[in-house]
Amino acid sequence: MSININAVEQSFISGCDAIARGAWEAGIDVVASYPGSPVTGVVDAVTQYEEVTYKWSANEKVAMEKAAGVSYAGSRVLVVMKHVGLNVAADPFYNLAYTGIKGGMVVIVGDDPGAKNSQNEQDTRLVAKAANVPVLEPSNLQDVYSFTKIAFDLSEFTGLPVVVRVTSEHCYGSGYVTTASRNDHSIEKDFARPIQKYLLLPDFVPDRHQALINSLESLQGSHWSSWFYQATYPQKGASKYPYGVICSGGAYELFEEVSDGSVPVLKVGMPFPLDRKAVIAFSEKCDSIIVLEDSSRFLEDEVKKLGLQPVKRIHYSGVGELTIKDLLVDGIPAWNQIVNSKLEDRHVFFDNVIPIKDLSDENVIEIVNPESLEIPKRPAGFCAGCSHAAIFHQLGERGIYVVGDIGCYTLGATQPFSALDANLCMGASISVLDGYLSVMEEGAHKQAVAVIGDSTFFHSGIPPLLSAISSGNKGTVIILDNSGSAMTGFQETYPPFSMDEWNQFLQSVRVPKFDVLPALDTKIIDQALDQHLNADTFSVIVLKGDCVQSLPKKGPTNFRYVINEDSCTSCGKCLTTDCPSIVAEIKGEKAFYEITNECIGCGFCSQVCPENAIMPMIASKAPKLIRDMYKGTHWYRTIKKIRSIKVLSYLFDLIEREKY
Amino acid sequence: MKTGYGLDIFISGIGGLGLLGLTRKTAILLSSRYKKVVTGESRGIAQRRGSVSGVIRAGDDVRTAKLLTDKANIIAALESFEIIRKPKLIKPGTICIISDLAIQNFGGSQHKIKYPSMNELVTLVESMGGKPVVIPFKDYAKRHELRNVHISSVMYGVMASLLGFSQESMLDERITGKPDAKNLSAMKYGYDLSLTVESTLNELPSPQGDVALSGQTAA
Repeated sequence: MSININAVEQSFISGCDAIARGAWEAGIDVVASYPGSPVTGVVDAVTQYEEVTYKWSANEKVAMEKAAGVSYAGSRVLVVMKHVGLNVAADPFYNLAYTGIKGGMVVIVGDDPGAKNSQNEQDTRLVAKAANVPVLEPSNLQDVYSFTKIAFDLSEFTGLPVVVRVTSEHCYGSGYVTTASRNDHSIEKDFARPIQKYLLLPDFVPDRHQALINSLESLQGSHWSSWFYQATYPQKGASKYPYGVICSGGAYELFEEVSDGSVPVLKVGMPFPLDRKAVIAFSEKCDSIIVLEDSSRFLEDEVKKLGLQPVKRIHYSGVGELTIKDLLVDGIPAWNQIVNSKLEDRHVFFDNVIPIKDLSDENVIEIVNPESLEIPKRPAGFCAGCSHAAIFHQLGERGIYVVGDIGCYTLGATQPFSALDANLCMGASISVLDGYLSVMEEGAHKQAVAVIGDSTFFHSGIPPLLSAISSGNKGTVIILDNSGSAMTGFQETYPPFSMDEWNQFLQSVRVPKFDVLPALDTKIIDQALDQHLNADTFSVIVLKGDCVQSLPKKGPTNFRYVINEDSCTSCGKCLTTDCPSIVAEIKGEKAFYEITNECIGCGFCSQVCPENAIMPMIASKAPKLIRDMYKGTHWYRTIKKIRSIKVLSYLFDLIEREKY
Repeated sequence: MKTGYGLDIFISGIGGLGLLGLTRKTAILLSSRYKKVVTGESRGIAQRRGSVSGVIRAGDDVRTAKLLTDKANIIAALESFEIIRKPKLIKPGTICIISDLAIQNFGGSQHKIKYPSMNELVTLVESMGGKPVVIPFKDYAKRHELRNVHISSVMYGVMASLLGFSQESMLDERITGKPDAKNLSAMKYGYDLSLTVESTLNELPSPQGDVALSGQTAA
């Protein structure tokens, strides 16, 4: 649903939309970001606001530093990254707390409790506290919108960046949010002075540190702080309650839905710096305190520092997403009864729906216990035509140790490739391999490679490459270039390199041996692996291909492949490509394979078929007599040859074009 | 005192089948009837054929998109097998809408998994007390040259009809935007399909509780 940008209205929007809207209304001029789930959608949503300049940065550190410049000049700026991205941006982030800001600066950080899209479950509140930066924690989508908007005022009030911690639940959720119109925030831009504030010379640092502490203290107990601490008591005038609940984030919404209205609650929207007075005032009215939050025990620990002893939560471990069972506590049966009553069945079901098409037998059905069902997982895999598939196929066949990185290519770890053994964080693959080769026995470089995607390479892979060259170790780095950040939906975070530009780049940083090759040609890949693994020097292979996410999906597809049943022996070798367009059906003793219209004609499967039974659709339509004549043709190479001749390529494009 | 009654819908599918749009559209449609509607999505690496799911919760006191109990009023599966992705949610009376679109590829382990027939899936759902409703999509898609992603438009039509909305409400441009011809006809096809259901869910409790319940409460 689109949002009316002029009126105050309710719109059904996602959490990412709500962040973008709140920031736009606050009068931001710039958004700086590196893509990462769950907050990639914020920048997508910002694109509808013409007043805002946005451009993906090469990494989160760059985004934070660019935002610093914008803020120093006096403009309001939004910085967006996922939780682990804040680690990459930690250097400027910590120091920004010292220099302070001029224009309001809000850092949106997307946490991922449950780690559905991430390499850890890190809690950003802990990082913000370590940097002495205030952190806001919205509970629902209305909060996400309003906290983002208000955070800019808060930032200018404190002179500090302000973090708004959102979660996957917020970002991927949607609901009605009441929005308003944009505030004008145009002020005269200037270079920031004095140097005592903006130049972090050791002589100036103690004063800046003191100023930071003073800012946080002035925030605690201020009108701003009380705005983020809302206590609700069920009875007017009651002086004491048997227990009360202190909540933050999504836990507050869960509490609100579960509670029957009889429980006093303190909603904490700003867990750092903690408003001690508000928490103590609330606790004085309650004999016992329950703290509800997701992720770590950050809020509980802050409350404990005030000398309070929250009751123990029975099931809560801090691992994974918060569930209703995590609300159960030790020693307060009245509260547990409220929670348990919600766990009971209170739904309404209907008997009067007649199935449209009921295929079941009429026999009496044995009742199945869902607990006993073993449901096979449907793991993510490479897309049909993915330019990463061939290299992992070849690496898997060789059985060598592969240090991977962060990106789509972590899927190389899945079956049938099983060709990824370790990863750590963005850009780490090259350094980890270099570390291995520093201590392993001579010849280890023939048994291991590092694999890194192009976006990750430009994010944080260049310094490791330079260090690896300097270290003098042998070893092979494979850069998988599909010209964008494919994992997050294909964003361009750097200007893509052509093959020539790769050659120039690798030459200029003095890589002793390198090759830039097409990504899906298994023969060429194999030859390159032989040469590089046996080379007596450090080397780089760049495999250049297209990300299918960047190709027009609904456009005509040329050279789609099919399986020629005359030649297919059902050996199943084509399944080792793990291409989702190849479907197997088992009938009796024999397996039948089919290539569906997901095929984009990359030709990878055609190369691995020992019978050359996978051929272009156009060739399969010829009469059997002709098909027999070209039995055994290596179609991938044939088509590659045709493609290299312009006229033939044009003609084949015309006849091979599909309808949809 | 809160009533506690609400509508919980679980939608399951595979990346690339349009689950996200279906969840949003259905939620907005429901928001014309319920005071509060919230959605949540579990995406994972969505576009790469992994399992994905969406939750829609509607009612007068709904706050969180988490399913509070191990059950749903309606489960809609955009792909056949995914109807049993969360078998615990199927309870006596749960309406299970199953697309006959079967994507038998389970990633690298595909050759080790025997994909169940529709008959087996329906029997399984019934054995847990669910009410299976099978959506014939495959033939329709073949006849109209549709892609797998169009199942989400068909399912939106089915949901709109099953939930008792008019076709006009379903096609409100504020919900659907301006769909192309294929999506539009897919929505209408889905809508017309479930009109064959004799009694629809339009009698679900409204937030104000002013509509008589025609079903039974399990507690």
